[in-house]
Amino acid sequence: MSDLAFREHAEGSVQRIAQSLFAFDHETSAAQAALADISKAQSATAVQEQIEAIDEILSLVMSRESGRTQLKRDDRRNIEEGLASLEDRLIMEIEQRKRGQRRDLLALGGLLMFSVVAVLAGGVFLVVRPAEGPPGTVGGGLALAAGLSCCLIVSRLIQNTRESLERLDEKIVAVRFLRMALHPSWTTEVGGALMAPALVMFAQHFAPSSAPLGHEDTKAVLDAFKLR
Amino acid sequence: MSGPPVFNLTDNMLIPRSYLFEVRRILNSGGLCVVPSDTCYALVGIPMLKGVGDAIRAILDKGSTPISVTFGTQKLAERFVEFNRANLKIIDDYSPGPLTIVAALRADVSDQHAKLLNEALMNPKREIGVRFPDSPAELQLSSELERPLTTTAIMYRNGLPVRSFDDALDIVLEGAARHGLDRGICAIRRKEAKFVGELSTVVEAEVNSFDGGSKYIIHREGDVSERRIRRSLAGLDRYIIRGIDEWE
Repeated sequence: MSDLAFREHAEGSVQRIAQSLFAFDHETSAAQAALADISKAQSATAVQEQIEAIDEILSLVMSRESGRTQLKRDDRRNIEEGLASLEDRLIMEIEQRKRGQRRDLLALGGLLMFSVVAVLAGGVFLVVRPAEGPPGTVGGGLALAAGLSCCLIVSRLIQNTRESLERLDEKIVAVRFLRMALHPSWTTEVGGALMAPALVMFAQHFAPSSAPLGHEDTKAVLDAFKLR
Repeated sequence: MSGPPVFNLTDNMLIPRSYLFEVRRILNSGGLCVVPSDTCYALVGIPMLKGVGDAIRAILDKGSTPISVTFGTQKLAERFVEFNRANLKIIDDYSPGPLTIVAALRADVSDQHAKLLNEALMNPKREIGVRFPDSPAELQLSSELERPLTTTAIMYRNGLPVRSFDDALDIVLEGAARHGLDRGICAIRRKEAKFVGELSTVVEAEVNSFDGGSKYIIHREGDVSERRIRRSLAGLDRYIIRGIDEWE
């Protein structure tokens, strides 16, 4: 290719870049600068380098025009898929934990009933058998106190287990909320209106000062009672 | 004075390679081409080039009416727009054919480019009118150039679509001369122009992500009647008619 042909090729490319709506201003300027440099270039290699630079810009612009650059996924989509995967995994894990905790609740319910029976028995012993003297009274009192303590502990365990189940549900809600917040449909008027109360609910939640009782704690207590 | 290059199609109605090279050169330099479309002759250009949209509107006296674009394949269209379930249902039922679907531009099309494209096509929102015509020449051009192309129907002053090649070319040349537009113009003549129907139907359909129902706007009722659109979308849970607007 002669010098003139090189120059004509470069001019055509620069004109095409300048004509495109999909060329950024800095690309048009860079192509025009490279074209100007061709005139000043002292060697064939320098001319070739400038032409290659122009062709590279043109190739980028043409890719954009044909939508090829759009094939690269955006961050939002990547995050959305990442959260979808996290949601699946988290829900599987949480559901497993929840099943364990529901079993714990059942067992604790049984223990509570047992404790109530012990309290009643202690009370009856104290009322019905007062004639047996101090040893009987002390025994009855101890049975009553032990039963009451057991009732209180088990009630607290049940309450904590319930709170723990609620927390697990909230975690699922939180992940789903994040996923939905990333979905483009939430940027619409209807989506925004529905999102607002969800956002308030999400933002206003605060955790209690003490950490809720974990599944492992419940398990340890129940193991101690040999009820599992 | 010699006229614009005119390429005559043979029976298979595809553009021969020898013509294609020349048509591609003209379109790539911001020129325009008269091409047989589904219902009449249309004016084709690359909308991503500066001034092409304005030139088409000026030549065809389209004012500020939005201009739809043709894609050679659905895959090519999906590089630019996101089709929802309702769009896909309509595409499955009536494309290729005289139907334009108004679809949202993909989120990853940059705002700057979306704005420029919207200005060029006079689209009111971040969306474009997508066509998959039944005309082999239009589909071939878009596929070969790997670009969406404008395919604006050429009309007589009384609003009737132009099906005579000579009239179509005259209208375009006269319009270009009237506005002093110095753009390359070429034309493709179909040997036996078999046009069907009147005009394409322009429809915008949305799917409600909460209840799965769909709603649609018929911007222009053409060959695909509103009843058929309604029937097509009836598979989705429910639909609401939003109104009827103008769209080219």
